[in-house]
Amino acid sequence: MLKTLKKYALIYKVFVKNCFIAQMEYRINFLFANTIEIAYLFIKLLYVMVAFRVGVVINGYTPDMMMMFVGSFTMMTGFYCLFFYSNFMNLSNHVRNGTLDLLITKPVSLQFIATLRNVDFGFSFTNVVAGAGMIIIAWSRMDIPVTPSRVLVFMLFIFLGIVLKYAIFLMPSLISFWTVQTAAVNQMSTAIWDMNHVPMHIYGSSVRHVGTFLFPVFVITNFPPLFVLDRLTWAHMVWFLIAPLLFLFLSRKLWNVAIRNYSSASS
Amino acid sequence: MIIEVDGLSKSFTYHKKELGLKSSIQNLFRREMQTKHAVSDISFSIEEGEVVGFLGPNGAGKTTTLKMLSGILHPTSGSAKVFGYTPWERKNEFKRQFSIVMGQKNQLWWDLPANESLFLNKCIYEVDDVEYARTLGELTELLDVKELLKVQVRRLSLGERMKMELIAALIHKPRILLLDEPTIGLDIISQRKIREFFKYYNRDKKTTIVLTSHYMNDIEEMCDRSIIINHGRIVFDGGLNEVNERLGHKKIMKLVLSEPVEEWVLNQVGEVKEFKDTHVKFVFEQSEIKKMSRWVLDHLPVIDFTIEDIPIEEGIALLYQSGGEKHETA
Repeated sequence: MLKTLKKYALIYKVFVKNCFIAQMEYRINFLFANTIEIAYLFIKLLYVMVAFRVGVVINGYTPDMMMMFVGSFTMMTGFYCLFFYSNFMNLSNHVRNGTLDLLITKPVSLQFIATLRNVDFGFSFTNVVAGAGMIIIAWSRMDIPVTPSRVLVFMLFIFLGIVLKYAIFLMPSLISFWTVQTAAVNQMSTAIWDMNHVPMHIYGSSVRHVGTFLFPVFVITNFPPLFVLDRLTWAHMVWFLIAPLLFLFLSRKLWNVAIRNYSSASS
Repeated sequence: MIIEVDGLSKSFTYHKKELGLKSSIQNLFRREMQTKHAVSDISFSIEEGEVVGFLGPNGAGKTTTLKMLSGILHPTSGSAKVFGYTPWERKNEFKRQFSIVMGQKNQLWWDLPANESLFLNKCIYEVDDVEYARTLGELTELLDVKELLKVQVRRLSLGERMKMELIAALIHKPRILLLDEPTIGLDIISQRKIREFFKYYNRDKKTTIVLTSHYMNDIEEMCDRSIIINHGRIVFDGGLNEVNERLGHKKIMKLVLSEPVEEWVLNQVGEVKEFKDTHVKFVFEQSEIKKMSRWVLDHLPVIDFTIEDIPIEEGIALLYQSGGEKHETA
């Protein structure tokens, strides 16, 4: 078990290294990608700015709290783009062009190699740093004590959020094994994800429940700040520990079904 | 036996698409599904160290067979064992022992120098450092690409890239090497070099090689045994020089006439393969040589004539044509 983990960690390290070298080959593209992300970031910050200017409290959330939610959302979007996004988008290309063929013959998990092979630095770096910055600023403005346990649990929640994000957003991309093209489905999941840049309590209770239990996007970015603000119930905390495992299990099952449907392509 | 295949079949379903916009709109609501039998009930076995070539026209089922042997595709029915493993169960112990190279697909990272991709394969196949250095040294020397290891793959020529692909496939010393059109698109010199490399590698390492190609030369030079496949069925299994025997010892007679004759006259003689002005080509049974020669010399204005064996290419073309009906296996 430990040996296998070590092997996968080593392979992942080579993936990261290779991706970095490959992306540095196109410096200008890399710089542009970051510039575009900074521009997007400003648009997102406008939401917070408006809240600060007006100074309104929405459903019990002060502008500082809002900033923490936007920060959490921004950072998680960054992590998603960094680790998963390009891989998930590529799945339908793999199916269409039959490029999964050679990956199937490698003696490592196909899911690992097909869904984690690309690490995209261009579109993610700004978001991760800016998101973390917003969280830190909001945290200190609200005078929330910085205890080791609180920080550690917060980081654990961020990690669980990344795992959950992988599991939930992999599933819509797997539809490509049946339909080949999934651009429309991917658009939809991106739209659902974007609902997340505000605290979930802004939505009605039915939306909140669907987004917490059925398609738990709110769990990913809402729960870590809710925990810091002491607003997370015990039941939610337990759900946060179970959900990543449950959805990882489900996505694994769906992966296995999907891969049986792979029919390669002309060569 | 290192590979045993028994009654393997694979069919694909797909929907028909007629020409034009109207049918695209109809397709949105109702699709007519069709089934294509890519491989139908094929059986063969291969011993360790053999070099076997799959020969056949486009769409014959060569690549599909190779994909099933490597576990990429699940068959519709039948069984196959490679080192005792069922390929499509995709066990890691199985995958460590073979490699597949596809002339039209690459595993090297496009923007990186080849050595970075090779190192990734080293990690994936868990090759130890000393072994890796030795194998890499040996292969780069043999293929004469030592200087190119640090060049980005996208800057390499097709031939150079193919050589790098081969190194990537051989870095873990597989016992079986599956090659799908390995020389496709290469110039004649590169083709020859790659063939020579395979021949040497097979002799030196006793690696079993199974390759598909529609270049006759690939098969003729490298393989002691060929499996000719057409319409998903095996139509011939044996040495290429035996193709003629399988065709019933047929011969070709080429004639040059002093003046053109009517075609019906020629048809009286036998099967006319080609007929242009004064040049005629017949195919006939070896046993009829005497009778045919006598008749031709007596009745036609012959100024020159030769009797030859059917060239292998033509023999194979004859097999292709008969593939639809003829299902014999050796």
